[in-house]
Parts: sequence; C-alpha cells; structure tokens
Amino acid sequence: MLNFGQLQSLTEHVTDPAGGQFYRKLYKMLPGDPSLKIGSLKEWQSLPLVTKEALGAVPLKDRLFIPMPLVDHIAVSSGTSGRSPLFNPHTNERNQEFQFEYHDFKTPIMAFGGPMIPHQYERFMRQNGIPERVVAFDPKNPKASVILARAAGVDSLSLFLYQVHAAGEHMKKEKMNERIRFIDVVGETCSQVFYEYMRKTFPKAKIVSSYGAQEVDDAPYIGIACKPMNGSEPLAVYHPKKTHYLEIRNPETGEILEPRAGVEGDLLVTAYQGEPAVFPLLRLQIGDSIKVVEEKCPHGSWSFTVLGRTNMDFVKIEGGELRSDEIGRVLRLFPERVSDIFQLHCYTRETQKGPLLELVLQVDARGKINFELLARDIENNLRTGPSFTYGEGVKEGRYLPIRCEPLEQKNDGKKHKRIVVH
Amino acid sequence: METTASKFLGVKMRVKEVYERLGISEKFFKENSKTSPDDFIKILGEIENRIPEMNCRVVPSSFNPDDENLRAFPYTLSPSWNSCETALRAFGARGVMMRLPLFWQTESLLHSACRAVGAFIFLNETANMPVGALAIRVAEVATVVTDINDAYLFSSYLAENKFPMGKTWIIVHPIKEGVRAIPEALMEKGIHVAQEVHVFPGVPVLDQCANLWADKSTRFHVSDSYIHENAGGGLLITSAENEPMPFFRYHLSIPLRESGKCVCGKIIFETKT
Repeated sequence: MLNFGQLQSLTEHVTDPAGGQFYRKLYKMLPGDPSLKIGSLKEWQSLPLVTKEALGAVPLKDRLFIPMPLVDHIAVSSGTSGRSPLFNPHTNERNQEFQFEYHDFKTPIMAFGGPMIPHQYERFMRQNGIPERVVAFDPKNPKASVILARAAGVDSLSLFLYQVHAAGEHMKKEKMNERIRFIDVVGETCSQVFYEYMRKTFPKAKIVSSYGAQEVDDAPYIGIACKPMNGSEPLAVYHPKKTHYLEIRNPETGEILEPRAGVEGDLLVTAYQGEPAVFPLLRLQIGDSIKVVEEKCPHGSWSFTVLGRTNMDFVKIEGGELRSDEIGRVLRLFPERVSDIFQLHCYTRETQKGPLLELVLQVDARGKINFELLARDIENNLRTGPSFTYGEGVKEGRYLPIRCEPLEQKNDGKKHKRIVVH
Repeated sequence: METTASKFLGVKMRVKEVYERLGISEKFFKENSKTSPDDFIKILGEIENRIPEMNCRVVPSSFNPDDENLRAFPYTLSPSWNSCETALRAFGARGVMMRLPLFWQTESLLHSACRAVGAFIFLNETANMPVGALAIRVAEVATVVTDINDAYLFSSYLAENKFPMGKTWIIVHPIKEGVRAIPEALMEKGIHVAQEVHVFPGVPVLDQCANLWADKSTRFHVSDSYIHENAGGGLLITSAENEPMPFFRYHLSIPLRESGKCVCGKIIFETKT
C-alpha cells in the first residue's frame, strides 16, 4: 500500500493550483490557496470523501489531470439509482506483474471487460514479451466467441462472474472446458453454488477472484486475489495493490478503523499508480462493505473479503443488470396492488442447467393479492437491458421465474437495503 | 494495389509457400484457380488445428454469430487497421465509440488505430443506445465506428431523441450483405463519413480515399493490402503483405464495376446496380 509520505505528496499534487481543479473544489480551497500539505494521518482522515455522485457532477474533460490525447479509453460504470452512468477515463495499465503469481499468460486468453479489456491484456502480454493472443468474449454472442476461443487454443478466462455460466456451457459443447487452467473472475460476490459450478465445469482451472471498479485509473483492480478459491469460506480474499491505500470506515460514526482481523466497515479507496495519471483517486467511497480476514497476509498487507454493497441499488446479472429504480418503476405500474416499497433478494440456485438466478421480491401489498400473478406481471415489465426483460430471460432459460412475497421490513422510516445478494 | 506482372508472380509464390506449409490442398492454389468464399471456409476448416501454433490473432469468418459455418480466420498478430487510422487522423478524432459486436474481435484493432492518432476508445454495446448517445453528449466522443445496419438504427435513435449526431462516422459494410447507401441523416454537411467493405470483420478489402469520403457515395478503392485482378465475373484479390493466412485469387462476392480513375491515382470501383 502507499505510505504516508506518498499520501502527502499525492495530496499536494492533486491540489496544485496549476493542475486539475476537482479536489480544490471538493476541499473548498480558494483560488489563491497553495497546494494542500497534510501533516498527519489524522489530517488525511479528515479530508472529504469522493463519491460517485461527486464524480458524475463534473464533466469528463474537467476531471482530467492529463491532456486528453493521453487518455487510453473510457469505461462506463453504473450510476446510482436514477442517475446517469459515469464515464471513467483510463490511462495505460501498469504495475500488473502481480498477475504472474497464478498464471503465465503464455497461451491465449478469452477476456471481456473485467478486470481488463482485450486490448489491455494484449498490451500487458506484449510488454512482458508474450505473444498478445486474446479472444474477446461477447456476452451477447457466447457461442461464436467460444468457437473462436477453441480454434485459437484459449486455455484461460477473464470474465465477469455472471458471464462464466454462458461461457462454460458453450465450452462444454465445444469440449474445451477441461483444457481451461486459469480463470480470473470479477464482479458480484461468488456464491458457494457458483464456485461448485466452476469447479465442476473447469476441473483443471486455478480459479481466482479479483475485485475492481471502473473508477480506478489504469487497470481497475482494487483487490488482488490473496489465494486461489478452494471452496473454503470466505471464497474470495484480497489484498491491496501496492499503488493503492485502502481504509475501513465505520458507517455509523465515520471513524477510520484499524484493520484488525474481523473488523467490518465501508471501504475507502485511494489509487495512484504514478504519472501519467488521468485522475488520481483520493478516498473514494466505493459503496462496498468489507471485512478484514488477516492483519498480515502472505503478501505483506492486511487482507479482506467483500461483504456486499452498502446501498446496493443495482446488481449485474447475465445479460444486463437489475436496478432498484427500474424495479420501483415497474411496481408503480400496479398501484392498485402494491406500493413501490420493496426488498429484492437475489439467490443463485443449482439447477439441471447449472446455476441460475432466482429473484424473491418482497413487496408492500395493498390488501389480498395474487402474488403469483403479480410476479408474472413484474417479470414481463422488468427490464434488465435497454430492450430485454427479465421475463424474456426466463423464457430463454437464463433466469428462474420471480417469486413475490409480502415484505418483511415495513416502511418504518428507516433506511433498509433494497437489494440483497445471498 | 496495382502492380506489375513480375511483382504479382512473387506475391503468388509467397502465398503458395504459406499454403504448402499449412498443408492446404493443392487444388486451392493452382496457377489459374480462383478461391470462392465457400472454398476459403473449407480451407479455414482444414487449418483450424494449426492455429494455436501460428503467431496470429483470430477474427470470425462470418459477421453473423449464428452462422453454422463460422470459422476462425488467422489474422496478423500486430493490431492494425490502417484505413481506419487514416480516416481518424484526417478527421481529427479524439474520442471514438466502437459499436461493432465484440465477437468481431475488432476492439484491439480499433484501439491501436485510436492510439496512433492520440484518440481514446469507448466500447458501447449496440443494444445500449442510451449510453452511446450520452457518450456523444457528455463524454467527448464525436466519432462512431459501426456497421451499416447499426448506422441506420443509431443515427435514427440520435435524431429522434435530439442527441448530437457526432462529427465522424466510420462505417463497415459486411461484404456478404452487399453495400447500401448511408443513412440520410449522415449526408448532412459537416458530418464526415468514411466507408469500408470488410471480407471478414476487421479485414477491409475495399476502402476510400479523401476524395471518396467527400462525396459519401458507395465507391471504393481496393485496399493497399491486396493485389487485384478484374476477372470479368468479379474482382479477385491476393494478399500483398505477409499474412498468416493470405488470400489467393479470392473472389469478392460483391458485384462491382470499374468507374474510372480517382484523383488519387487509384481505380474506383462501384457497386453494380
């Protein structure tokens, strides 16, 4: 992790009057103020937090700390409910050598967008003297992608967790699942059911889980796999990247907590991989809660597991995402039956077709209603993509039907999680 | 590329060597044989097991993900899309949105062209038009790279929802679908359009120079990467450069006719109507 001296320099750098103005505005600095010098960790911990909302409120060009031609690509991340998506600028990926701990990358890999997109893998391989053979996985066209992967000799995968099932089923058809020897998954928290599926489908694969976010410059890793998954809980354990500084914050008091084993709290991310940095990230409230696993892991830092989103308002699923604002919109189509208060529980169920998503939607019913009928009406209206509904996904065998049941948590004025992933 | 008979002979000899090395049946590269698109798919089937040991990337042999005959086409490992790079440079592209299907394997090729001119790339899934439109409005993206079908859909979406149209469009015509005129919305003055015909995704065989960009019609030159022969029944192309899997007198399945010489010195081909 970054040390205090590096945090001091970083704070000065991002508040340089001649540089980007994002942090000067966030820290309420005046036009003539010199760059900010912090004298202690306590001062660091009192710096205002960066939120996705704050990032989204500033036009992309005004967030850049480098000239536009040095930007390599931009990637989009979901905004919070009802808000626009966030466009995140990125420079070249650097400091990725940690990836060799689990895989040699000497043979072709099939990759999508997490943690790195195909051109990033190609550059990473090229920089390390390896032929840059990458097959892009197209989640909309998994069959065609897998045919190409088989022909190219792919034996490793880097995918979002929710894409692994589609890739795995087509790889079984192409009889190439047993040649896979490395899988790096990213995205939602992996369930035991899903881990078992991967273990069975790819018996020779070393499976690691990475933790990332598109708001982070260069390659979007926040947590590096501390060990391959082996079925024991917690399934995915991470340690910080050496160019990052992670903090754990008590969500109720705002106090920064010492990373002792068992401590839980909200994660704050500082990420700075050196120049050129398109947007040095200081104290981003990423929106995930974590739990410390070890105070000192074999990689020399504390390690952690991700418990889930603090205010989860979307969840990525195969073929799209479920958003709480979209669920609210659909519920408002049936005002005679329900209010728009709900809690959505997402489960991964083992089925004959492999692990499938099941949604249990707890709703605030108005009198006696037919929950079965309501569930069908909801899934036929609930969009998981711009032109795709959950109901269409059920018909295609991607998801299990929605179940509706009465809301356990009534509207008591307190804030409750609207989406819970089990 | 127009060339002399002796140079053509040298190119053919080199292609022949590659075919022999890959164990491709001799019938496919006899002196006067032509390679039909169907024959080429058979060749790709023959060499598929050799691909992992070839120093190459792969692109699909079809634009359609459900094509039962979809094969992997071994393509040059070094990512390059020269015609696209030329257009991006000429039009001063800074932010480039890719709306081509990911299974086409063109992301790295386009990214490389973008970086060569100091532009960034943004991947937009074709179904997600709202985010693509927003990228034009708020994320400094003014160039769209897409295929002709999506050009119609996306430009309509932008117009109907009153989004800016973007300054530059680079449009791919999949050869199997023929060539269509560009959407009316892109005919507007101030919008630059460069068009290309691809034999496989990411493999342009017909492209345009600045003169042809300007009139926005469906007239093309044969790409510099190929030597061509106008063999009465159609255009035959042979790879002029070192390619892992070169074309040998490959018959372009598109009706073209010569339409004079361009100011740039190259022959113009236009679609027969």
